[in-house]
Amino acid sequence: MENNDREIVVSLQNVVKKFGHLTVLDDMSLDVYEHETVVLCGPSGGGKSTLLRTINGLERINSGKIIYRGTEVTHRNIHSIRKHIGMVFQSFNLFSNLSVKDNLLIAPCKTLGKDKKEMLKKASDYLELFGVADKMDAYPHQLSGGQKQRIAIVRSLMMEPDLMLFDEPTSALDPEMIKEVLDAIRRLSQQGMTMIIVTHEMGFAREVASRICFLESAKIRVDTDTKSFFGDTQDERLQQFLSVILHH
Amino acid sequence: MTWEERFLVLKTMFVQGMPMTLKLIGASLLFALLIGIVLGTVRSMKIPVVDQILGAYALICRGIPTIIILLFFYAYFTRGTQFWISVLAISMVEGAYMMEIVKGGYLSVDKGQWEAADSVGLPRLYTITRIVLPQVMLVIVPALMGQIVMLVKGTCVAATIGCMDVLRRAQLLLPKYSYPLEIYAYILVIFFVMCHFLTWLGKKLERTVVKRIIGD
Repeated sequence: MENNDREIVVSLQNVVKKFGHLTVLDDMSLDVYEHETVVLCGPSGGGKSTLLRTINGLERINSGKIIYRGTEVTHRNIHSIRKHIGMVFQSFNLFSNLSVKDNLLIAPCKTLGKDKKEMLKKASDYLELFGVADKMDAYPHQLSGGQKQRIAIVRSLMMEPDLMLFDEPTSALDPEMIKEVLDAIRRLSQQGMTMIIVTHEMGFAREVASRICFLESAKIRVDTDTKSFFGDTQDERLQQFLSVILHH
Repeated sequence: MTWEERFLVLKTMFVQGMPMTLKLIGASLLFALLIGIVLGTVRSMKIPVVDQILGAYALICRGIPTIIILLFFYAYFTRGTQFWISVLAISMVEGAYMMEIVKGGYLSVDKGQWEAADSVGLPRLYTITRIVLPQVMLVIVPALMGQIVMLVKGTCVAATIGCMDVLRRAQLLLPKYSYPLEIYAYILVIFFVMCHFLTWLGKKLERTVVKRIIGD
């Protein structure tokens, strides 16, 4: 495989996560290589979002290991590792009391100690690139969902992440805004950003993903390259899922 | 009451009593807000044991009239002026109410705000002061203003232990002039005006706060 000579960015090894008696991640293992775009899909309750959230420590795991660039992630070092991992949420989660400008500058200036002027230049370049150049002084409640999500993506990019996590980035959007957000993500994929995306947009997955994982009942049932995922899959449950989701 | 007497009565109340009333309000408000914001923040974290202690504190303060707590403190503390004992009792009780209001404010802030701050590596305390607390303030300003009006009205209890506020000054004038109805009417008006001025100020402040916090 071509992956052999590429470095692993994040590796999940036999990860188990439980909420009370409910097992949400059952002995999951997954390697994500540099410049890969991995799409996680499957029915809800399958553990997709939880898997993503364990990677940057928003959920603690019960057992197993998460290794980021050769270092095991623990609650001690999670704080410094997070700085390298961008996260985009379904409900955007822009800081609602801060203007777009402050939303973008707060983290790099506070956590990375970057120069404010320099970051302002960078922020306005990104806003330009993502088609929201005029929103620098707006507050979140003055923006549409699509604009909020693009700005949330820029907020993550301001930290110059090494890995980006997208948790259903278009699920809370009106249909006409989905495209503008997907275009933004597509751009990142083309630039070689390592990404893990939870999404139900299978057309989009087919186009940008280098690999697709199908999760169901707390397990990764299928983990394969995009072409074979949509080709002649042997997995009966996946066939069923695809036939429903592709023809809805 | 002659005009001369009336002038004297009002002069005593305003020149001698009013500064004490304002000092009582100012000091109690400062400590009550401090208690409310700090302990409300702690309470929102639901730390075991600490939370039970704070819950008991709220339970006690809400279940006993302020005047009884004040009299208890007055009997207990052999040192300390009437002023500081009053400030202690009033800010303790009002602080407990404010703590519960602040806690409620924290519950209303979406947990996604914390997660977003975590995901970009912002330190906890910084997240609280820069992101979450301003959003808490936005939600609680109306309830807090109501509580501040309660505090202003509640400062009257200080007169019972001999704190020389407007009420106490007026009461001392009663034996000298036989017009209790008129003298009490002045106090009534003074408090009515103070409270409604505060309510009006609160409404104005609310708009300023909203503008400052979310931009319009």
